[in-house]
Amino acid sequence: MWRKYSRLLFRFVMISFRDMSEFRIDFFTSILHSLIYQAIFIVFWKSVLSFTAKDLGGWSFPDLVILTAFTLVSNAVMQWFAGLLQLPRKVLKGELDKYLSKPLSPLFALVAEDMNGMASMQAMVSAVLILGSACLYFGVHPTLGGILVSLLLMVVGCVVLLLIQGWISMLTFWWGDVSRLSSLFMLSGEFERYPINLFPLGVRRLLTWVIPIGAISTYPVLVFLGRAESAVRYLGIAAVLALFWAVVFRFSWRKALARYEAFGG
Amino acid sequence: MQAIHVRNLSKSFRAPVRDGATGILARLRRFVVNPSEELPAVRDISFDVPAGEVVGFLGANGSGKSTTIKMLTGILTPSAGLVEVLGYVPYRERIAYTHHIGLVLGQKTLLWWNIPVIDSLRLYRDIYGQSAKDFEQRLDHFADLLEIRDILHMPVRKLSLGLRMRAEIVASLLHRPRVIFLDEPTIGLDVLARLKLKRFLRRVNEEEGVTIFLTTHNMFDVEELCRRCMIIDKGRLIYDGDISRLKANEKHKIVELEVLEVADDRRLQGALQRCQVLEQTATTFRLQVPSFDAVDVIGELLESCRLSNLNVIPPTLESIVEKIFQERSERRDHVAEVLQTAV
Repeated sequence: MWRKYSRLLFRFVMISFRDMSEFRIDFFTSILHSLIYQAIFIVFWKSVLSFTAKDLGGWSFPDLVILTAFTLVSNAVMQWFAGLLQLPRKVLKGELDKYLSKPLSPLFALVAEDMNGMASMQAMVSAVLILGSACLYFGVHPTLGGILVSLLLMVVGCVVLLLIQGWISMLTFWWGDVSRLSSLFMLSGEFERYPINLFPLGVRRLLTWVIPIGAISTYPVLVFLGRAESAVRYLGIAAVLALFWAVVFRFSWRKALARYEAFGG
Repeated sequence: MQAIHVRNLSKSFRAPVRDGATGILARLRRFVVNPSEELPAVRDISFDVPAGEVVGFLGANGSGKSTTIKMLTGILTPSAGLVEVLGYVPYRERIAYTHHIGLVLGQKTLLWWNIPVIDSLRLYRDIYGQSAKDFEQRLDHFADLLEIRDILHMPVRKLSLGLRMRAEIVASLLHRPRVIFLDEPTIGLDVLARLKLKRFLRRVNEEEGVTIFLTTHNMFDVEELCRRCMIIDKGRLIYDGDISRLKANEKHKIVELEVLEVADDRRLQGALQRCQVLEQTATTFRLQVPSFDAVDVIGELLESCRLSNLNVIPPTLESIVEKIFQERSERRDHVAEVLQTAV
């Protein structure tokens, strides 16, 4: 089974790249968009810091540039799972028929079909460029362990957010169109761009324990910079949340498929 | 051996209650409470399909055809009843079961929209775990039969409906399925494309013994491909048997005539009273004549008028099915009227 799914994954990855190459102009425009968007945030932090003191709640300009780069890394991870966002539309249009009539996991197919390989690559290249430049320019020297743990923490955090996002999308099977609810949840992603210790305690707890945005930006950056109080604690919280949401997701997915109504045709 | 075995199969969907109330308060209540009810789409149907048979599944829009086919393919979970295809319960053993079936949905593409056809087919090869050699051989064979070799490297979204449908059918057959389900595969196709598809399906059925379950609006497709048909109306199976038996039961013939001159109007009117006038212009008539009286009525028509044209049309499956639906609809209206009066 693993062999079959590895081969399929490879083929879907190839398709995701070929699919994007069908729209070359769109691809180059997307790169430009991504670069300009990050530049705006970096300029914003520079401006804010020029009005205040040397740092903002303990975050200096180099830290904030690294935080900005980290949002690109989490974005690069999320792009591989963009298919989950398509779930409401596919349920409402009856487009799961294609997966359910084939001998493969519909969830795998749903995610694999809409993997944004190119978008992920754009984000990753931009992130590496910004991170590399920032480390060299500002003299930041992360340890290998710090890099690996921060990446691991970020991936686990992304998994939790994806599971929550997927679970909200899954509500379509019961409630119909939940795209607004889904957008509402995605709004919380805006917090990713800011160090969460800048927010009041309640919001900080929310962003650590309920919607763990901190696990994909602030905490990995702190680990990367070697300033984390307890990297293992952050990792533990994210892992427990991932396990909890994986169980909820799996249980709901089985129920949801039995509710599928295959509209259209 | 039975390929498909269905007993008392039902499927209901939840839908918002339409109580007809239009006031602002009623709308507000509907918005807050959102009451819903179970609407039956398929009701208690039972049938068997032997291996190797080609069977037509007919019905009007919303009659439950697609819902039935989606329960048979494991896409939908039935609300009640038993469904077994090739010994599998489709919705429970979906992954093992779908290795042995093919599905074509006329109104939806099962290929990947933005990539070339050949890439979708290769993806299917990996999904079904088919060997590269078998895949190439069968693709070669089918590409020639359905004349799709030139479009294999074109993205699906650039194909015409007819070409896309041919590609879909090839995709559904490459992995050697034992049963294929075709849900309105000829919808929107021109005459030539339909003909090619039907020839191909007949050949596949004869050469590979594939069981074909075909739903369609088009009675001619069923007449040409199947000996047996089932008719579903409002979720209920109202006929299951040979098409020839259905036709033999038809007690009317259609007579079309073009009149040059009426010689004896009283006699003509007498003849017309013995049949049902379906269409009429100043000089033409389309009549439904009881079979037992057809010879006499035609004799009367010939003696009462000078005709430039006379056609006696045996019943087509289309006319029979149309009549069945019409009669059932009238019966339902009548029952509703009686109930309303009683209330």
